[in-house]
Parts: sequence; C-alpha cells; structure tokens
Amino acid sequence: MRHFKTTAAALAIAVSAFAAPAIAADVDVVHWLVSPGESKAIKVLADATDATGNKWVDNAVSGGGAGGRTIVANRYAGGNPPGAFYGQPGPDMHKMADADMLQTTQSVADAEKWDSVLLPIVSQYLKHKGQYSAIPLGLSAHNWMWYSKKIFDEVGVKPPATWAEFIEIAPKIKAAGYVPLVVGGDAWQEAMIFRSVLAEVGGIDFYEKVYIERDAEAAGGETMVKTLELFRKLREFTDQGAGRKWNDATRMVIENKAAIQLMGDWAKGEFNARNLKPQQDFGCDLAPGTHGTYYTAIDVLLLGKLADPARTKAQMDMAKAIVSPDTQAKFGLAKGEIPVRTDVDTSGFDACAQIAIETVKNPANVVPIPDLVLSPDTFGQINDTMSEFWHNDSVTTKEAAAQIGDIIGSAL
Amino acid sequence: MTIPARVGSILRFEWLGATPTVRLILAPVMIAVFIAYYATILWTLAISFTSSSLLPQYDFVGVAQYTRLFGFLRWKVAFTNMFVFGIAFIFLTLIIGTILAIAIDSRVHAESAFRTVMLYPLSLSFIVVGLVWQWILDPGLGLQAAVRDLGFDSFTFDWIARRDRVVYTLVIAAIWHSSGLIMAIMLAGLRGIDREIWRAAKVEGIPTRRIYISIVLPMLRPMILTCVTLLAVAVVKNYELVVAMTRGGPGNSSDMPSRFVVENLFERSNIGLGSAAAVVMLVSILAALAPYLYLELRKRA
Repeated sequence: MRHFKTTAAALAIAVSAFAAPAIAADVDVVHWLVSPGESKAIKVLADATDATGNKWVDNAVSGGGAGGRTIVANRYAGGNPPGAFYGQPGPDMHKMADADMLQTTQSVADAEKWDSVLLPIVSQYLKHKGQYSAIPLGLSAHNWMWYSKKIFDEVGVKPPATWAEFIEIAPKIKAAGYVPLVVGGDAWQEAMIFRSVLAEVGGIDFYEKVYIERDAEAAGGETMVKTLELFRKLREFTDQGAGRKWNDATRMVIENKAAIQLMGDWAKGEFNARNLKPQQDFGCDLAPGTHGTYYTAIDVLLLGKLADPARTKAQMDMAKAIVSPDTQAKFGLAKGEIPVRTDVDTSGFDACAQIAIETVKNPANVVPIPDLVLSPDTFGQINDTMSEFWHNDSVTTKEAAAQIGDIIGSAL
Repeated sequence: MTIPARVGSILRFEWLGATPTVRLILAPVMIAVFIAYYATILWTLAISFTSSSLLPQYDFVGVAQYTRLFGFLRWKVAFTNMFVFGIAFIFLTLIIGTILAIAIDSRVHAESAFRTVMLYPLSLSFIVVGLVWQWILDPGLGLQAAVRDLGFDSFTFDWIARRDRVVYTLVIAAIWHSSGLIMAIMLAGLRGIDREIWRAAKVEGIPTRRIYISIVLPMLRPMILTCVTLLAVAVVKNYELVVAMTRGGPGNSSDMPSRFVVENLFERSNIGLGSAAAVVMLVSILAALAPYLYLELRKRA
C-alpha cells in the first residue's frame, strides 16, 4: 500500500507524456544564407512556415555551399535526412531523385496549379520525370552589371551596352585614374565575364548550343575562338586584384574607384547595406552583351525523404506557404530576387528588380546558368581552363577553345 | 625471436602493453584509432577505384580515376607546387629556426621576451596568417605600395599576382608562422647539450662555427627529425593557408593537392577523383619521407 501513491503518480506522469498528440511537426532546414540581407530573407520563409502551425527549425551552416552540401551528405549517410535544404535544381538534384533521396512536391503542385502559375523555366527545371521535386524560392540572375554613376558622369560616357562599346570607352576611364572593370580573384567571377562575352559574340543560340545541348564541335569552334580573343582583350582594363573577394570588388565600385563590376544580384545587398539607392547613387543594368536576356539561377529548397507522415505533411504545408504570392513578394524584396510566380504584385520592387521583371515576362529571354545544366565537375573544369587562359598569356585561343570543346564533349 | 614466436606475440597483443590490464585499457583506443584512421584510409583507397561522383557507387573501374587525374593540368601544377613548397618550406624553416635558437642560446638579455615574440605567430591560425600576408603582399595595398609611397617608384614586389612566383609567397607566410616552433624545439635541444663538450672544444681551439656544424648539430639529430616530421605534416595541412592567401590563384597556379581534393570531393561532386588524388598525396608523402625516417630510426636501434 505504501507504494500505491508513488506508483500512481509515476503512472500518471508516464501517461501524460504520451497524451498530447503531435499535430504540428518540425521541418529542419539546412542552408548557408547567413549574411545580414540573406538572413532577413530566411526569416520571411521561417515566418511563413511557422504561420502554418508547423515549426521551421533553422540549421544555418557557415562555409558556403561546399560546407552545406557536406552537412547534407553526412546527414543522409547517417540515416537522418534533413527536412529541407537549400540548393539548385541541377544535375545533382536529378541524381538524388534517381537515388530516391528526395520528397516530391507534386501534391502541392496539383492543388495550387503550379503548372499554370509559375514561370515556364521554373516548371521545366523543377521537374524530375514529370514530378515537381523541390520548392522554388526565387529567380536570381548572374548577368548584372553594377556601375559607378559618378565615374561615368565625370568621364562623360554612357555605361556600355556591349563589350565593343566598353573597349572604346575604357581607355578614357583608365586615363582618368579609375579601374574600368574590376574582377575578383575567383574563377567563378572571371566566368561571369566570360559568359557575357560569349553571349555577345555568339548570341543566346551559341550559349545554348555549348551549355545546354553540349555540342562539342560548336564549343571548340570558330565562335569560341572569337569569344576568347575578345575575353583576352578585356584583361588590360582590369587591375592586379590578387585573391580579391567579390564583395571587395563591389566595394571598389561603391567607393567610386572602379567603373563596372559584373556580379549576380546578391551584390545589391552590399549597396542596400550602405543605404544607396539604385539608379540614383549607383547604377545597375544587365551585363554588356546580355541585354534582354536573364541568365538565371533558380533558388530552391530540396526536401529530404522522411519516414514520419506528420513531418512530410509539414513539408507540404511549408511548400504551399512559401509559393504563396505574399511570401514570394516579401522574399524577393528581402533577398533581391524576383518571384517565381507570374501573379505577384511587384510594384514595391526597386528599379533594378523592375528591369528583371520586365525581361522575364517573355519566357524566351530566360536562360539557365550552367550550374543548372552541367554537372559541377564539368563546369568546374571549364572554369579552370578559362581561368588559366585569363591569367596565362602563353595559352593560345585555339588551345583553350580545343580544351573547352573536349570538356564539353566528355561531359557526363 | 623466431618468426612463429613473433607472430604469436603479435596475436597475443603483447605490443599493446606489458600486462593484460594495460592492454585492456588501451584496446578501445586502439580500436578507435584503427577504425578512424586505417579503415577510412582503406575506404578512400577503395572508392578511388570506383566511378563515384555525387554518391558512392561500388563498381570497379580500375585505375580510370588515376589516369583521369594525371590528365588534368591543374593537378600537375598542384602536385609540383606541393613539392616546391614543401622542400623550400622545410629547409628554410629549419635553417632560420636553428639560427634563431643559436642566437638566443648565447645568453642574450631579455631572452624570454625574445622567445615569446618569436612564438607569437604560431598561435595564429593559418587563415589569419594567410589573410594578413595577402594584404601585406598585395601590390596595390601592401609592401609595394608603401615603398613606392616612400619615393622608390620602381620598386616591385608583386609576386602574389604572378603565376610563376606566387608559390614562394606561400613559403614566406608559412616560414613566418612556423619558425618559432622550430626555434623552441632546437633551443631545447641545444640546452640539453653538456657544457663539458663546449669546454673541451674550446680548449682544442676549434672555431665556434665548426663546433656547431660538426659537433652540436649532429648531436641534435633526434630534434631535427622531430622538426622535419612536424613541418612535413604542416605541408600537407596547408589547405587553409592557400584558401586564405591566394585561393589557388592567379588562375590555378598556387593550387595545392589538399585544395584540389577538397574541391573535388565537396564542390564538384567527384568523390572518386578526389579520393584518387588523396591516395596519390599519401603515397607521395610516404615515398618522400620514408627513406629519411628509415635512416634516422635505424641508427637509433
């Protein structure tokens, strides 16, 4: 009898622990958007998810994309896939979907009619074997040109719309003591310039032939040689930036030491952080040679395949909340991207984003960046070759073109 | 010991420790070490013979990854860089560290202050070292700009922006970082030498320089062995230095095998190729160090 009270109390506690049913579930999200502007954007998504009754568990990782992908790989290897992780819908997404590692979002797509509401390029690239396999967050372009209005006003020239124009006005800018074109020390920054030169010399058709259709002959042929020649001519208008990071280069434009920089739309965060207004304190436009085209990356959340049906439902709720017009507008404003839906109220977006929104109205203008169509290995090798060509004057245009042709030809 | 007796001894784990209690205590550690180090090395070796890209595939493709590896210009550059960096770094750090140790050993005033100052760089991580030296050696920001501002307009020191010289900037930064450690180790060795030997040599009338070269330094061979081992490990671990200082640039001319492996494993989803590169790194370092280690350790037996 003397144990009765203790036993009863213990039983009551044990039962109450099982009593509360778990209606809402957690979605743990792995991402590497940790800069101040990017954190604001993540908060928009987190608030949207929390509003559905579920909980966004944030697993921010430092170390950029490589660090994040390592964490995701380790989670899968340990048998505990993440609820969601940030990425691009490229060849790796398809590999993971083939290996049955991803949760499809087709159910939400059917209910919300994504096929008719999303931009065509988003629908095209998000589908694996006809099924939507990710949550689209926004469209982010890589072919932006950020320029210093002060320098152009001072020298008395217009910002260039093509590289041919740039080569004409660059000597004047250099004579005035400024760096005409500032590049950082990474191969991917040089690659942005390379791609816009390629677009100018060969047009969108050539770009698609090389990167999407993987035509090895075109990739190693005459047009590529001409591209490389023009690319090499730009070198004298840069400075010796040893190991410079992209935001250091942006800072040179902000401080009016350099005239133009080619960088993706995340550079806008640098200007915003200093309260500079687009088209007033600094200039933005699409990169020379790429006017009228939007070279886009599609930011997505990929979903891990989870065993718990409550957590899967939480993922689907999150998908619906993130692709809603309201969240899309807020996220785009915070991150500097444009929404993936065609029916979002975009009047609040700044002057640079308005250029983007106008351009993507025509689906033919939207072209994927190589990350979406080539394996990281292939475009990494192309970057290596192109970077070697940029820095090493003894590599001839014919050699480099032949190498690029080989790489594209042997692309997996 | 006869061969059967030796095998029996190994199987009874007598190499782990003298008594069964000691062996029991050490066994979990040894198992952890075996799994964490050797089993993973074997797994990497196995993966290097497969066609794994994003995820491990357990098919067998022979030496295809190795053939592919040596077809990359970038790998050849990185591999050569490792040896250039390694040889320059080890030799120069040894020499500079030893000279510093000899200088401090001569009973200077404020000796502990000097020692502390020389050891400060060692407390910095390679990332900080790389970043600071990048700023110092940047032609537009650092040494070249400062000297030019002083009036010497034709002074150039833009090695960090030159493809053919950038490896040597890595050597400079690494020497600055590690000389203090070598100095400390060699100083400990010098202090351990019997003063009688000094007196005997002085009585013979041998000049100081010859005492050091022919008598003292040969006695410090165990210390030098330690230093070389530590420095060789630092050569392999120089990933953070390259990433912080030059990011492999300009182009890929200051790339190192460590950076090549990490990039292929994690960013390029090329597990098979990265593993092959890692195995080549391991084999080449062992091949370079093994003769030296064998000579040193054999003598002591």
